[in-house]
Amino acid sequence: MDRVRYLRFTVAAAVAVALAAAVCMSLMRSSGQGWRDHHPATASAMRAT
Amino acid sequence: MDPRKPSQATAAALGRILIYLAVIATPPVLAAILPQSRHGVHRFLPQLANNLALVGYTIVAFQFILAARLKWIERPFGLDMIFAFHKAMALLGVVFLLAHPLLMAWGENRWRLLSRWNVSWPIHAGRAALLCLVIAVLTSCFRKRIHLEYERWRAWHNVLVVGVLVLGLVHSLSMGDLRAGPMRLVWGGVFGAAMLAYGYHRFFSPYRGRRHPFEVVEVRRETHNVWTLKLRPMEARRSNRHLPGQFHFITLYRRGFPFEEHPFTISSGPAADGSLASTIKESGDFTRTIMKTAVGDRVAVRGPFGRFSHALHPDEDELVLIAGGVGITPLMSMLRSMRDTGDWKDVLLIYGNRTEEDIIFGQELRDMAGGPRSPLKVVHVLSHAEGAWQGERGHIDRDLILRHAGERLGAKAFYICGPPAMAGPLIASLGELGVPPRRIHTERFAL
Repeated sequence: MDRVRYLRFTVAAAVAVALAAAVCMSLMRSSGQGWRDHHPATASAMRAT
Repeated sequence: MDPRKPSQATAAALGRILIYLAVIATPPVLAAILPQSRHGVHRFLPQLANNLALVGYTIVAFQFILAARLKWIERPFGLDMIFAFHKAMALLGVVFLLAHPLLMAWGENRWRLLSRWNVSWPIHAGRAALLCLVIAVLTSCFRKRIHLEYERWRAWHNVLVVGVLVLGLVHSLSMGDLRAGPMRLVWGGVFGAAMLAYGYHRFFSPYRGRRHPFEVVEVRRETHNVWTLKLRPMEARRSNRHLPGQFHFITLYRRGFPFEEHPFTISSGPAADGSLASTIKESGDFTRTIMKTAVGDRVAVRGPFGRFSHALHPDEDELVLIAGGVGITPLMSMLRSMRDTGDWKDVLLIYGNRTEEDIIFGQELRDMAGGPRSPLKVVHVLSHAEGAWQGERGHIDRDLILRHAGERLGAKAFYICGPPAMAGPLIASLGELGVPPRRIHTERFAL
């Protein structure tokens, strides 16, 4: 069944993408390489807090 | 998109899948690039805890859109697959959101965050959101096992999931990354999209159904426990064009009965005046009252939905339709459509019932298959046949299919509709016999 394949593929893809996004962005930010950590607007927002 | 063109349906399906993946991955990316209020918490575990919560909440918010029965989303997949996906994503959302406090406590080495009662109110809001979510998911998974009625479950589910969304929003806007900055707007958008879908599904769509109702024009007894309701739109311009084999949700407005929405297959073929028929077996609290429906009763109709239709597979020329009991209804819609349009395929119908009295549409099937050059062949199979029965006895199984449809099985398309105990083994058998999965069609619908 093509539709069952769609379902399995989409569930697997959703798990992979969701985990990858969460882990990669966490790694990036924990290593201080997040764009916001260097962005002037972020820097000013951080100073404001 | 024309759903009758397989290539367009595939492209549409892949497009919608990509949109979904992009939506659930976007919040942590935006949280990394947008300026925010929080001074840098740069340890990995608290960051991961926050990002899992962002993704988990977005998944939960998107559940409202999946459940809203939007045709744009449903069309390339079928509502049964959307609901199956909805269930799978609910589990993923729960796992991500339960991981959030655990990782946060671990990362900040403050395990008492999990157990202490004396915490700030946003943390209580987060705990209440998680509790609502866990209850909503557990009652959905084990509804039948705990004997929870569908209507009662549905009412509670609607309250609990809104609680998850609102309490989760309060918690997230009061804590961490979302306390200020443009991410608040993004988060408001996520919440707003979910609430819009909820409003459409719970209020606007039922309102539209009541404003443009159908009326019951005939209540016909088919067998000792099966009835057909024929519905006609009360406005001439209201047309509900369906593909043969699709289903719709109907709400009967009958005096003395609750107004509940239930899904039923459309058993009629296409009709010029937009009329529809649903053939319904007495099997539950609601369907056991179906004979008390009166001509003239008003009906709200939502649909049509589903992809269980030969009209979506114009390349298939030889069809084997396999039905068990009231599972004949979508297949009957296909047969009536072929008869009324004259666009016949080469069709073998294998129809299983307990006794001869249980056969629905028996005379009409005889008439359709009666002609000497009719492209329809009907094989009745009875599991509890009486002595005089000349036809097949027992259950529809691999041997019976081989006996009647045995040649070039791989070139034929199979449409199966019946109880799971019948459909499941048959699908497995057809796979073993070399029928490609794309030629085995079934509807997996159970509320």
